[in-house]
Amino acid sequence: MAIDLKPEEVSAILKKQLADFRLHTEIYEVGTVISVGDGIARVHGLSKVMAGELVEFSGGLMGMALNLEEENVGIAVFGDEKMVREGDEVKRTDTIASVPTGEALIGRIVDALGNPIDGGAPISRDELLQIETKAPGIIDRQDVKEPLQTGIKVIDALTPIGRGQRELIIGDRKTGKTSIAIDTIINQRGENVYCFYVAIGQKRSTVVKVHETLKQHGAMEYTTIIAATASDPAPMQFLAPYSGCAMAEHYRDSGRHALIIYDDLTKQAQAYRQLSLLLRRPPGREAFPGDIFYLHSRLLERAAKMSDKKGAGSLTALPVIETQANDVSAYIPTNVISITDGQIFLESNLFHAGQRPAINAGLSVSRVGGDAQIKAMKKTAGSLRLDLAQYRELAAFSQFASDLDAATRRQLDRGARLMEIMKQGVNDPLDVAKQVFIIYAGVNGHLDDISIERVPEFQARLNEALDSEYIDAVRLLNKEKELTEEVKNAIDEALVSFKQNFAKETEETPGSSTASS
Amino acid sequence: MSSTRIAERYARAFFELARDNDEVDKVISDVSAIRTLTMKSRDFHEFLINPGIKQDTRIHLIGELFESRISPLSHRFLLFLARKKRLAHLNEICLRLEGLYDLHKGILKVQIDSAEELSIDQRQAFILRFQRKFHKAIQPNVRIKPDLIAGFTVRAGDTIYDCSVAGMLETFKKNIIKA
Repeated sequence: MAIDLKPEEVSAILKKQLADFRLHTEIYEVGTVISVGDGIARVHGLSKVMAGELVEFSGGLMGMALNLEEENVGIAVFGDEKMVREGDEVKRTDTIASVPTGEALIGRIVDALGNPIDGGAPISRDELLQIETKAPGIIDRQDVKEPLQTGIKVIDALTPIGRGQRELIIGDRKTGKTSIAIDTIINQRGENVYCFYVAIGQKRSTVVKVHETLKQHGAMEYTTIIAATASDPAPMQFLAPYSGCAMAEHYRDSGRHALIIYDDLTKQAQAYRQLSLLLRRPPGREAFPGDIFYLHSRLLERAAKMSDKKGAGSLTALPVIETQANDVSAYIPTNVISITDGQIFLESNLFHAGQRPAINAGLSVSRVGGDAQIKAMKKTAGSLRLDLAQYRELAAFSQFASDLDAATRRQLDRGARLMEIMKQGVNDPLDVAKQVFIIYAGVNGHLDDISIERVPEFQARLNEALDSEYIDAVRLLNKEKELTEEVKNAIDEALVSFKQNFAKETEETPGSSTASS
Repeated sequence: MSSTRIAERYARAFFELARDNDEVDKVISDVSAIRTLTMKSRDFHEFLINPGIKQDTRIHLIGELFESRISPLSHRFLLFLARKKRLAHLNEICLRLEGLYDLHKGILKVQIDSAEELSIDQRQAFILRFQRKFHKAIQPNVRIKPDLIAGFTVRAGDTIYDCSVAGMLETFKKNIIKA
């Protein structure tokens, strides 16, 4: 991004600064570096420093006072500690760590302190927000009631997310956690939801990939990326989620909607563990410090749906947690599961079996999202959940049986088709009306006479047809948002007519079959 | 236990003992002499910190070195430190003792860095100004620092009063970068 430099503007700034230049005495408090190592500097002096205050080392490097002890202050260094030497002067700044907020951040990639790292123009620091703020109080909130559509069928149907909710995305490595997050951002196009993607401890190449994907789909127009990559110091990785949250809160508190993704909090917990151990705080379970729960709870509590009096804005949080060998009972996963309002559980077995997104519908829940679903989806998905549960049970059982009665076979066939329609490609979010159509078709037996192999094709064609031939039915559903008799009839009619066309086309194509599998 | 905490404990105990015996001034002059010695003599510094030296030798040497040169109270204190294996912290203990003495006498040490040599009048003006501000006897230590370009900086405790051109230019630079 080229910087648009105008000589007149530079002159004006210089002139203003010179006009304001007065001879005055500057008073500041200093300390002296006693020791430095592993990203932590021990400083003598700074007797009045505040907890969490930013300090400046003589080389211009910044740090954050974390441990205020009797004899010295433990400071986390934001940058290369090799620049700090024993005996260096450390200056107080009298400011708690804060980040710039506002519209200037949209479309940018910034670090944990809000400094741009995309090579673009500097970001104005006129509007600053402290990165550590208290979560909104009880009176300032209201129930989660509006849906935040992810565009992913299985999520919007079974574990719906509402605006202001905290829904955990949990799973092993390479199970598609980030893809779900990215798809959700892509689906917010035109929904007036400002998105923040916080990358913690990831590879820089991954961040570039995410940025490219978002740019390709036009999602950078409403998204900010906050990156504290694996090569950044631990304090930056620990701070990044709070910085992102402060940036997103600007929208929540001004009556708008924001979505924040913390990818991932396991890495943040590890960065915090590193910091805590170096600061000699006592280790607990898995060597994490005692306040590791509070680290995540105070962050996720800041996601909220604000009351009408407070502008009715919202901040939805989608934290990501990486498990090891599907073990959800490890320390950090259990902590975050208990904090959030539900979880989307991804399994590597499903992923490798081709079920993508690899969501385990049985273990995934949304504790508040049901209230935020549109009624049509709620009704359609109600029977879907039941059908899928029965299918899972029967499928496990039928593996040992050779002869099955007709009813069981029918149920298995129906289930297999439902599993098929739950599949969805990456970066291909689907409109909620289309989701209702296809799920309705599945649970009401419209797909029973179509072979499993042809279900994806059926779906793709149906999506196309819904944009053209059956647009009236879609409009009616979008208007009513409920499964009234009228809407039901419209959907049934559209599906019957589409199926006839589909069957005709199939007959015309030699080699294809419509036989049940 | 950390070095600062050890120093604080021994210094406070020794200072209180000296105060009760009304020997504070004598003790502090001994302390300054010892501190100068540790700074100037590398051998003496080595002797204090080297863990290879046996305790008996250490006690014997301390006795011989200081017996007739410092007050009996200071001498006893050094032997006590040697017996408690805390001689390595001697320098820090001395520093702490000087701090306690300043506090006791109401003295404030200030470090004045000036771009140019200060005249006697200027020095007096400084002392008077800070005396009024802190209500303490001011003990200035003046250094010449041409890096400041013009003006001066004063450090009293952890606080710095920066009235130098170099400091102002630095602030100016930061403001321009921010704008």
